Amino acid sequence: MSITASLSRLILQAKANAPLWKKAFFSVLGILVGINLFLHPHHAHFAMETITGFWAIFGVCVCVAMILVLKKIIFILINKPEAFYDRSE
Amino acid sequence: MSEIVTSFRLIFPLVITLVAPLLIWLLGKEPNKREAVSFGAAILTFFSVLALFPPVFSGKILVLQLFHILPGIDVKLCADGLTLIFAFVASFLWILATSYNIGYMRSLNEHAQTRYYFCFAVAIFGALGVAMSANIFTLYLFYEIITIFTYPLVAHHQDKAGYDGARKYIVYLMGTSKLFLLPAMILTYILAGTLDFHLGDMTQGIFPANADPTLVTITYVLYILGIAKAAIMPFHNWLPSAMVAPTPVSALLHAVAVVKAGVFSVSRIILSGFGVDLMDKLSLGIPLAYVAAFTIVVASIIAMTKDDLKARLAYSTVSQLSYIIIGVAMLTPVAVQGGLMHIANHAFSKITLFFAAGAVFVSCNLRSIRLMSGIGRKMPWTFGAFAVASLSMIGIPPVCGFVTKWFLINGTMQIHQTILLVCLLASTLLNAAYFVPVIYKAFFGTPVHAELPFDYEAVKEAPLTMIIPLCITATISVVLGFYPDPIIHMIQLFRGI
Repeated sequence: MSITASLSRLILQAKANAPLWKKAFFSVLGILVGINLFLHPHHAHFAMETITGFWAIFGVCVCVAMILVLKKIIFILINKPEAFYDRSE
Repeated sequence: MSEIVTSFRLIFPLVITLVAPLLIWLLGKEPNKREAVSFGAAILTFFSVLALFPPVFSGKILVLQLFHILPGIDVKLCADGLTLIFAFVASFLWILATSYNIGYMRSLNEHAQTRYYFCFAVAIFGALGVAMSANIFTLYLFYEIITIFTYPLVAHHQDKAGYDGARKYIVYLMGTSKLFLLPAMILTYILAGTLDFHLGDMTQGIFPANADPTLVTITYVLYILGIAKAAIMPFHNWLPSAMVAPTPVSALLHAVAVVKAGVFSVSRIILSGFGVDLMDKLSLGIPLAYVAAFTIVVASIIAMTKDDLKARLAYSTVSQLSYIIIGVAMLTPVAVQGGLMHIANHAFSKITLFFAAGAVFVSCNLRSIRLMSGIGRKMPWTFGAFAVASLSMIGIPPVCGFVTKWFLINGTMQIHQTILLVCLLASTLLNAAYFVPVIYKAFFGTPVHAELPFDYEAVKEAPLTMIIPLCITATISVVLGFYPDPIIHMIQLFRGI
């Protein structure tokens, strides 16, 4: 199964190139905000949506809020050792 | 309103799935012929279900009375849009599951394979019977056939864990159906004077306008409690216990045939038995939607705590089944559409996940997620399909699970149910929280060499008879995401549009 072997290699390469992927994805996000300078929603659902970069700012804020809530509150509450729930099984 | 016509086409799927187990039993000593019969029967059943499509798609509802037992109580079959969704999914996936079965059972050299294939075929007979039931009595009959014939499959290993799991299975399913479903059916007969579903229009039910609201409500509650196969909490515990069964059983029966028979029965009884108008008038929908929302969130949280892949998938199934219930319970056309679509969407995606879990078990005897680090690099096809199906469960476009969530979320907004909306969105996050780590670990994790009971470098994909079906079901999950129209059309036919 040579296809399987080359797929495995691709996965390893993707992992090794993680920083590159990160840059690529951030560039795409940057380009999208850039495009937003010229393209505006024609049928805005609400007034704020017409502000350039609104969804980008919204996304960043929600993302940061989610990370903070999950890492600082939820994680501390529900974090358990790896096999904690399998004791009885 | 659709035209109702008598058709003998309805008998074929049932005859084939009834004759096949007998042939399987007779050919027990010759495994190749026995498996050939399973395969042949699955393909023939699929074509006999396909034969129902043209008349139903031309706007007809097919019915066929088989036996008359008492006045108002018949064994009667029907085929409308809802029938087609379930019958199509069950019969099509039976073909793939048979291929997978052969690879799995032979690779692991399992015992009692004839009994296994026999019961498997009868369970499909039961599932098709449920799909084609034209009245509550027929539905009940086939519902119980599924329970009885899946018991030997759950207890297949015949060890303590197998018997314990199977006992819980039968006690939950039989207990609830005898305690609640049977009285509900009797009450329906007393109140409505008939058990025949009202087909072709989901707004109308079978209860007369002057029926006592309290008794109708009691009947409704008994139905919901009685159909434990839908795995609504608190009657969900049989499903994780049933995971002691061989993986193909978990895949086809406990992700498709058995559990879908449960949610199908709930949907059929709500939409063709009670009817949306009566449900709305007595405000019966929203309480059930809340119970389903609770099930969705709690089962997802429990799923996160499971390290056994099959246990995690079982709780994921409990959670996902309630998507169908919540959609139907919201009673708006958009939500009902989202819910009923999930019968097909969840079937294709969840069977892929179970197939993948079984492939890992056959290849390296692993069920613990923690030990699967790096295995995805050795089994890229299996875990690739697993990743696609997980995206569907999470609800990421373009995979089919997204379409379901889109309709459901639209439904919650239409009826201004913010709590249900939040539950659905939270469940998306929870789904991601218990599926993404599995994929990430499998593809990018470092193998835990010291704890692995095998040589990591020697791990390879399971036999092709197992890999091909799981790749096909993963592909269909994507196709249904891009092109959900056929399923939507079936639901519209069911609604009489």
